[in-house]
Amino acid sequence: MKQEELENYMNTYGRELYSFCCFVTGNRQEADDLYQDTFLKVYELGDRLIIRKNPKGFLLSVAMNLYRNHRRKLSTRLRIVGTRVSAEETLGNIPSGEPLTEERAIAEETGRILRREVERLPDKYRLPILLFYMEELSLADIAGILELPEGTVKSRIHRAKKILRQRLEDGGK
Amino acid sequence: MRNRMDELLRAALAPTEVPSDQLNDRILHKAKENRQMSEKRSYRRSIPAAVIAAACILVLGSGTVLAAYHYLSPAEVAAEGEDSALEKAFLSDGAIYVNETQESGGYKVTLLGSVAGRNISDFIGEENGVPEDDRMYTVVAIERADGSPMPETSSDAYGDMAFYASHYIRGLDPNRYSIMSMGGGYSDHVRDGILYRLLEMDNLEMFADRGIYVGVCTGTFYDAEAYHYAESTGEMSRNENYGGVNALFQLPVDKSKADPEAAAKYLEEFERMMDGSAESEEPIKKDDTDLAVEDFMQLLTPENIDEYAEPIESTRQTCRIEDGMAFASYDLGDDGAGEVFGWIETLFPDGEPGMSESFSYSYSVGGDGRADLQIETYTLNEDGSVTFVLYGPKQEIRK
Repeated sequence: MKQEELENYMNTYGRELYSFCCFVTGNRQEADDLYQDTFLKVYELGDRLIIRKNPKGFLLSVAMNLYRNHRRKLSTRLRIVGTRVSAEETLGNIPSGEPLTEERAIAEETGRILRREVERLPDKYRLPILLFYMEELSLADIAGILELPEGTVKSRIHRAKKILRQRLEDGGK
Repeated sequence: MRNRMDELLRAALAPTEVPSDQLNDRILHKAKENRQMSEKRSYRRSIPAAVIAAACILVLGSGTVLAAYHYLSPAEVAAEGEDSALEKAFLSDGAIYVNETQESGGYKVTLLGSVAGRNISDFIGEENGVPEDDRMYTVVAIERADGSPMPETSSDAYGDMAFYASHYIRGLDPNRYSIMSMGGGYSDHVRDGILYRLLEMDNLEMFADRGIYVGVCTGTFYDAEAYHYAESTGEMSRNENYGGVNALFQLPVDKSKADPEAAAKYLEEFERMMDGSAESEEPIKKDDTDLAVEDFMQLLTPENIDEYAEPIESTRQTCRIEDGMAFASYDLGDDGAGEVFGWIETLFPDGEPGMSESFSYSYSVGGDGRADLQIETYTLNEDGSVTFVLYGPKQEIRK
């Protein structure tokens, strides 16, 4: 892989990968590390791999593996309060054209609660939800990345939605 | 609100975090730095002509002359990687030399040698703070059968042909137990058109009584097509009909080094690690409720579902079909709501009308399990449409 290709990947998929890293690590410093390690790993593997299709899926699968290893290594380390990426920081994605201020406020509050509740989900549910809704990968791609049967991915997304819906109805308490 | 869940999730989770320019610049800089380091490490030191001449003289007259002369020795390959401890280990009495060549898929693969032991490398990694110091190292040479040179590791063409080289243990599924899962790694060096791969893994000598293989096949990952694995005997063999590279060697490990007790402990730890890696670090423990639900779901088939469960008629609907998926939604008030979908190909692999044998289900976390179990069913109709209906366990089953 050449430097230009790496740069091209960073320009094309950087935002999606970085958002994923922020969400799964919940920590800006760790997100930076995971993002960096992912691209360096892909660059290193690039000598041995030819990425013909779905580069985003491939990048995420590399990030996923690094994240798992990282979590195993740091499983006992506590997250540092204050450096965690705040769900409130990532606002501004409210759908549909210019709703009224009150509606917008409600939508923003809903988004804030949802992001916080997604963060609180165990990895088993959180990762499929992020890969499906944030990265918009197909169930087949998610199944490949998480090394799970497609049916399991689907049922986990469904179950996660059910949990999130319940928590949303409870006002995120 | 319930019917907008997908929309809300997509909006709430849309990727908005942007990496800083400094971070991207740092990555590009490091990538360049790593490449330069790698090229430096791939550089072949030249062996003085006098040494080569002496080696030729010493080996003349032997049937293995050409192999010894033609290839770098494992110790030289270790030296290529600037690993003097490993170089010494390959020169020790404990090292195994094989020099056996097999040809497949247009390549010749030669198993040169192997050595195993504790602290025999200058490069000891660690996992969870524990040094990975008990390792097995093996060197194979890979060359094109037509004699054309293998590309240098620094060239773009290097990645055009990937090889998966690993030790395997007789009696253990090679698809599961290989370099990928057993703390493995490798480095490649190209010299005089021949690719030398130095692979390392956890020390498998404890399995010496079973038998250790060394395999080199085409691909970045293990290719189950390359080999046959007989579960009954534990034997691996080459698939003669395989089109790519599928070399397979027996590594003549000293059987006295077998340690069945340590091997059993290793496998126990391996399984624990593998189970952990498939999920999060906090595996979801199945409680009695989960197990009761699973048992119940295993009973269900399209033929007997009406014996154990009943349809919730308010959820019955014709699915919206889009991009090969069947979509439905339902709202049961306090009993939950959902937007559901299923891949038509997965639900109805034969394309035959009738209820899909594949059921998805859900129940409340911390709930009563079967009491609020909801079973999604999809039925393919004669006209190609798909009907969705949710089932709940019958009253007598709920208790």
